[in-house]
Amino acid sequence: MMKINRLPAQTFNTTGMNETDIDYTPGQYRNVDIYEDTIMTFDNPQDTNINVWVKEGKEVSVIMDYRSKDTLNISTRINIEKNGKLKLVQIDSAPCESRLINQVNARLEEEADFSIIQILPGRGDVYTGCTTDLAGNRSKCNMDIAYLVKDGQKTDMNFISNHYGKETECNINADGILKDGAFKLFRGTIDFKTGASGSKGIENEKVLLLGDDVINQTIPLILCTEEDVEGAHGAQIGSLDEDVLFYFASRGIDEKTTEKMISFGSFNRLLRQIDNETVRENTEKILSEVF
Amino acid sequence: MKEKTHVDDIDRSMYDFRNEDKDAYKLDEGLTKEIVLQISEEKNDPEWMRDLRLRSLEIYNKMEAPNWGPALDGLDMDHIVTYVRKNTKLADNWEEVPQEVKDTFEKLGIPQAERKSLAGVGAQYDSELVYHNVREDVARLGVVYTDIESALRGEYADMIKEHFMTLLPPSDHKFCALHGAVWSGGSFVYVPKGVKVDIPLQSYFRLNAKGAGQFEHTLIIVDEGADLHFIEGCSAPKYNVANLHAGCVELFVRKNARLRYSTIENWSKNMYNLNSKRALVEEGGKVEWVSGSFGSHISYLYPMSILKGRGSRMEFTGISFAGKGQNLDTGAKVVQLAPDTSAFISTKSISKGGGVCTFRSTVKVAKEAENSKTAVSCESLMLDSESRSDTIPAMDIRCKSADVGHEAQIGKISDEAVFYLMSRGMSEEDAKALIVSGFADNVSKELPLEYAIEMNNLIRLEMKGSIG
Repeated sequence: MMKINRLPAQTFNTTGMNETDIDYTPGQYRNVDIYEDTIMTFDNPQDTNINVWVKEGKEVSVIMDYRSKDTLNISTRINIEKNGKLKLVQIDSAPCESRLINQVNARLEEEADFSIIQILPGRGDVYTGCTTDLAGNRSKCNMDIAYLVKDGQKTDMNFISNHYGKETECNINADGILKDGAFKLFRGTIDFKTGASGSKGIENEKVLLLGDDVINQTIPLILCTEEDVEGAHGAQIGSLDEDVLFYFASRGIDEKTTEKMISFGSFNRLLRQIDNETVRENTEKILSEVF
Repeated sequence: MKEKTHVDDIDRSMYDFRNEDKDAYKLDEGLTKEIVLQISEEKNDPEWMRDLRLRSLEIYNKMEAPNWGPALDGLDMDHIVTYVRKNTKLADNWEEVPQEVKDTFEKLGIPQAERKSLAGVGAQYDSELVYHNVREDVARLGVVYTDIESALRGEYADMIKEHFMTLLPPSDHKFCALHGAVWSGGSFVYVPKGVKVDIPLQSYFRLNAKGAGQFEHTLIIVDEGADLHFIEGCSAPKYNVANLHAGCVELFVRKNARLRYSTIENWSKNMYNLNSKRALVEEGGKVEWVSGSFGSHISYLYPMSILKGRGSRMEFTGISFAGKGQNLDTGAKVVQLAPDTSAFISTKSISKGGGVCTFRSTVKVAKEAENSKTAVSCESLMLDSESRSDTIPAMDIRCKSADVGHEAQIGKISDEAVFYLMSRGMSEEDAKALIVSGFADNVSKELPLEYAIEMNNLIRLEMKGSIG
């Protein structure tokens, strides 16, 4: 049994949100080091440790394309040195009925910039998360997630931004669509540590409920031991607004098509951020199949 | 050097007086079967109640303390006296209440408030009520407001048996089980169908004895179409040992009825306040919670509303102020089980001087709760970096047509707001004073005037210089 996605501050046990147990025992890990722009494709279910090193002042782009069937278990450790910049795109493009366990831990030095994009188009059960330590002053992170959960699938997430340095900034943004029988749990934490003065953190989640028998769990945390900070979180959970449906209907677009267009729109803003054309087209193809 | 705004601790002098408990009857410290049976005998319990106490004790002994909230290491049940009774009888006239007890409540302003603005008052001193009275015109409407022990043996015995600890069963959590085992005192209110009580009832709980626990039980039934405002106040003098409060409040709001339950909680800073409150709301009914948490060393307090009937509603408005040595873990829970229900939770918290405020909530919208709406909002103000403020809201939504929104903010006083007020001619000091004092307005405006004034006295904000 593997324990994953633990909340940094525990709450009522009856919520079932404190952490997740997965019936999986990792085998032998292979280790991979990354220092420069890379596109990695994961075709086999091999447990993998990845270390990404971004040297001072460097700018690196990494794309991880998860295509493996069965259970794929990836753990990524990131170190971004002063003024370094990393854009990490992770895409679940596995065959249906697969399972993804994806954990990221990042440490940012002074004025480092980290952007992580996760595209999760409902290929199977997903356990994912990212913990970012904003250790250096004026370091920044942006976590952007789009997910679809459908047909009895489970998606379990845990995104944490730890603010240690002064004037650090984070933005956590998750857009999701839940269809028939979906289970989704989103944990998002902004943690302002003592000394992180002048820091800001924003967290936002939008969930569109499009099916029956869905379970949507959301727990957005703000933890704070520093006076001079600004933190905010928001969550909007619901179905398509009547006014939106009416607007589209008045233009001859039926409800199903409206749902497809809006669902695709949640992913589209992230698709545009995939720098590699082949990967982008492949992801677009998967999305056009699922919607 | 920039001068920081000074925000005073809550002035507790009006609560921090104590009486000798030389003529009080008290049981031994600790929690054993013998002590539970002694309490049961002392109160002349019916058999079912004695059985409930013993069953609760068994559950208490088996259950673990919560592993997610503030530490309870300083609470040792082996050193808590669970039953302390002043050698006096329950009176319905203040003149019959022993002088020092009467003086206590006079200092707290209870008889004065009763004369001016209340329909009835219950006053509990340690484990037993010492005074209970309801205005004649209110009693004539059929409103029952009495101590729960009398109700347990009188004409409402069946009603008590039918409802007692059904909303908060001993198995709910460890301190509910503790309550079930050793409860004593508290009030029973029944408002008949269609009766609207225009002015509030109030129960006040005073824990005087050192190292003691208070475990009062409040049971309120507001029948169909009826309306009631109930106010609960509590305080205690400060001791250098732990005191414990583990009361239970069970509220039944029938079809189209409305109940407002207001609390000003101002326990002393050695108090472990592990209180449980729950309301069951039927079709078209509404429960409104107004909650001010200012005292105690540790608080676990999350009033819960179960919206069982179609169109039932809840509102929770709360404020917490944690100063030095305080860890207030408060919030609200709501379960929406029927269509067209609505829930609105709005809280504010202020942390200063090393105090810890945690807002903790759960919202659960069941599959059947079609077209239900929920809005949760919490704002936290940090006045220094020794303090801590956490927001932990959980949402579990299982209905496609539900509409749920949540927002939270944390921070210091907004520079933009100060600038705006200054641009309209206010000094920086005045602008900041206005913003900080206005922060608590959403709660104080929900209280009757006398209580709003008390609350404002509790948060005496002395502004000097600037925050930041």
